[in-house]
Amino acid sequence: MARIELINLEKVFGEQHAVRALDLEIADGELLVLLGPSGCGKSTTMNMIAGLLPPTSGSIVFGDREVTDESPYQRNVAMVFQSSLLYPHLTARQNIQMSLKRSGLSKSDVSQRVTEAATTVDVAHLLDKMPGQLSGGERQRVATAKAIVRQPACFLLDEPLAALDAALRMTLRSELVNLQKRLNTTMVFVTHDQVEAMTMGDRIGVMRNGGLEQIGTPNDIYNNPESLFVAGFVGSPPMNFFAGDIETVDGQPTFVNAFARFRLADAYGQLAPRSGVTLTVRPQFMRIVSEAGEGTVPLTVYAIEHLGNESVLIADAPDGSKVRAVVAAGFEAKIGQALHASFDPSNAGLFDTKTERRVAQ
Amino acid sequence: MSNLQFALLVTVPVLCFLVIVVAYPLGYALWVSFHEVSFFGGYSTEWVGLDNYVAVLEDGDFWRSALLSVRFTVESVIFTMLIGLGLALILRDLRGRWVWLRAILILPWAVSPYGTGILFAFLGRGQSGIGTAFISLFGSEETINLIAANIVVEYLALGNAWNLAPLLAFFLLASMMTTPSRLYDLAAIDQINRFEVFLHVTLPPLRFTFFVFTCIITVLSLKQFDYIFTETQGGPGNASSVLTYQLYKISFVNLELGLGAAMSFYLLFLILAVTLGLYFFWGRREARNA
Amino acid sequence: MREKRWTIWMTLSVIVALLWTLVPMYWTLKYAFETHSEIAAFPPLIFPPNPQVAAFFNIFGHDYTLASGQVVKGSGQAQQIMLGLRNSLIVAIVVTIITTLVVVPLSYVYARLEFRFKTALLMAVLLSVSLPPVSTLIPFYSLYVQLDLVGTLTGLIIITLTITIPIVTWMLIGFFRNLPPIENLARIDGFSKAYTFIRIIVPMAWSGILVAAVIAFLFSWNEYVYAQVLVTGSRAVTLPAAMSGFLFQVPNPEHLAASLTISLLPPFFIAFFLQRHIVEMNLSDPVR
Repeated sequence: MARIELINLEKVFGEQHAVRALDLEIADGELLVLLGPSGCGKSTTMNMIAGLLPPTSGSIVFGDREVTDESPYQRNVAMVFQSSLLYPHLTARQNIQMSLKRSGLSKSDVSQRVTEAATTVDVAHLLDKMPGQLSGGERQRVATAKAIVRQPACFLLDEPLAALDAALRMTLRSELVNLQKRLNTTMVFVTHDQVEAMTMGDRIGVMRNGGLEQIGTPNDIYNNPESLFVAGFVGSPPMNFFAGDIETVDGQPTFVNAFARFRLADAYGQLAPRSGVTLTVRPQFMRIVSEAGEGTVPLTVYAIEHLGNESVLIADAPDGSKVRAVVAAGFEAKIGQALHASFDPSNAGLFDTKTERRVAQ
Repeated sequence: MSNLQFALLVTVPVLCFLVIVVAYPLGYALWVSFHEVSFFGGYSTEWVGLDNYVAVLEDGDFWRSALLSVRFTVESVIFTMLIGLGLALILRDLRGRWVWLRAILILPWAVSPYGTGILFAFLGRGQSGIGTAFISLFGSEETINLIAANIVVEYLALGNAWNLAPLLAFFLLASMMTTPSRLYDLAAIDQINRFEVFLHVTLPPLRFTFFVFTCIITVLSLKQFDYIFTETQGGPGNASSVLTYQLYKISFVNLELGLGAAMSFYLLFLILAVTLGLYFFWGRREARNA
Repeated sequence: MREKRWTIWMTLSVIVALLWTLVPMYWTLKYAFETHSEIAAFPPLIFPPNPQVAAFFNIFGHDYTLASGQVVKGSGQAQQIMLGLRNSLIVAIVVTIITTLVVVPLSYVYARLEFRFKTALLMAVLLSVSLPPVSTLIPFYSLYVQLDLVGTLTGLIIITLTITIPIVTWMLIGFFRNLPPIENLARIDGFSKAYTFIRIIVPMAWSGILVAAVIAFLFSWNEYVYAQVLVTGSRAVTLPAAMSGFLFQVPNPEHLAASLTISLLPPFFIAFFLQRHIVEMNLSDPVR
């Protein structure tokens, strides 16, 4: 069990700055998800926590112990790799035992620990099979058993579910969270799937270009994204963006572009006029109205996706950008039909287009 | 232990070995190529500068052999590609109780070059060869000699292809197996004929294998000596006296070691130039697409 | 109808391929079962009229009595053939063992680890692939004269290793590249580089290593040029060099054919066994 702290961590591969000036603190027993597109440095960060990659500079602390120069084994971390990598020439049991090979435990202790771990993740009946004979989900469980048998200081999981089908991913997702809470062990989970991140993490760290873009609870990340990148990366269906400027109309700061104007929420009461801003609205907050008026956007219907309990309307704004709105299940519209949409200004976010940062209220 | 240390630990002994047994003879050959070596009246050497290199270039036989080498190599590559592809298609379609035939079809690969030379020497000779035996079935008393001056290089290339094609076929088969079967379903839906399926579905993933083997077969054919030595000894006359054979004659029969060494460096340059050329004009493109 | 036509085409092409493969071998190997006069017959015989195995006894020095009562004398070269068979086996086995021991760690390092000077070091090893044996023969010969290695098995083994090591390294690098990133798993489990290599990589890569060993064996067993120059006529003669006596010094097709048949047997067994493993090596990726 350990608190993990990364201090000013950097990793440079030749010309490429894979991780830059990363400061991160992971609490004891916390499940932190590192989320980001491929190449954002999340796997590199995880490999440095594991001790597989030496950082170019900066330090890593487990509890009160500096571990930057320690080997993975000395750090006592357990890791599950992409596609739940196992030794292909060893049975499931031998694979799990390999984690204890250097522990110095007696044979009977080892076998007892292996059985316990296998029972915990429900693979006791598969112990004598080879990895090639196991299904994707079974392999993932064996890899998990191999990780927990060590009773490690922390679990590191590098996209272990990426190769599995959607239904299985959902089952294993909750299993992993349940297991982590029961064992109360620190866990770092790397993924590029924002749904996985939202559903599993105590906190989510969104990474981009080797830096931490934002870190916070799933709630924070979803409702108060600090940058356009986070706003666009998290949430389904994805966020709507409107580009425009801020002007003062009737003494009130107002968002204006070629086809729409929205009065900003009262919280922005003192905002001075400025150009180059982006207004963001979640599709869930968009309302379809039949009449144009103050604070509406003219739209042309492009497609409707029926999800059963609700539908997603996808429409073209006059500048060609796509706008999505979550509508009631019975909603009908013809493709090409003209509509209008509006929303409550208090649900909109405001960002500087150039810096991509949230505009202070 | 760092990666570099581990790498040096296993590389350095091998490198030392190769340096001693390969670089030394190579350096020695370089030294010899600048000397005239004579054996009569005692072994003696005399520094002659670039004379040997110039003499080789002025030697008509050298140019004739070089052309023969190129002809043999180009034909070997073409024959091996065509036959290897044909064999691969057959290997792929051998299913169920006929799978064991695969083992037979790759047997020629296990025959050594000198063995192949012996086999094709007896197969091609006018007196004892298969051509004569075949037409005698129709009552003819003619002889058909496949090792005749005008076609001997083609015949040699064909035997070389016999020896090498199964290996290519095997690697082609392996690449074919990785083509997703969905692509064949797609082709069936598009209702294209077997030839078009072959052209658009089967062939494209094999291009990298073709490139690699063009290089391998080019190098092997330019280096080829034992096969030609046992099959034709450069004959009839000197109709199949390729560079390696010419080199053998100069060095071992005429004992003109300096001249031979100079010529062997031209051969080495030819091999390196052709492989580099193949890489730059073909390989880089394939590597990008792969 | 279309299926049927395809089957006929397929059958025809299989027959053509089998003829192409087997006829060149058959044509010479049948001499081993014929007598001198049958071989000399014109037009050439397509099948041996009275197949017999005299040549196989002759090449090992034994006389053989035909059914007709005629006695076929044992070959004067028998000693060379027997020596050759023994030496070829020794050379091939030693070369195979040394090549495998050297090449497996070497190609693993180049395929899997990142370190400085990697390309330069690799090029140095691989450059020797493109050297034509004919052009290094003379220098080798003079070197061997000085070292007193002419006509010795040790000399032949050393020279054969310069051929097998680069080629087999080249082939194995591709194989090791395709293995999953198992080293990281081993590091998490706390294993050293040496332990990981010996206890995890080697067992995992078993089929590839087997193929490498077989290729080394074939190259060594089939080597002729160096043997012809370095060991012909000596106590260290190998089978190919001994056999060429029937081709050049004392032309004798039935003995040549018989010894060629014998020399083909080990490669054939190996090729047969190898084809199953090559398929495995390429197609059954252990994890994905």
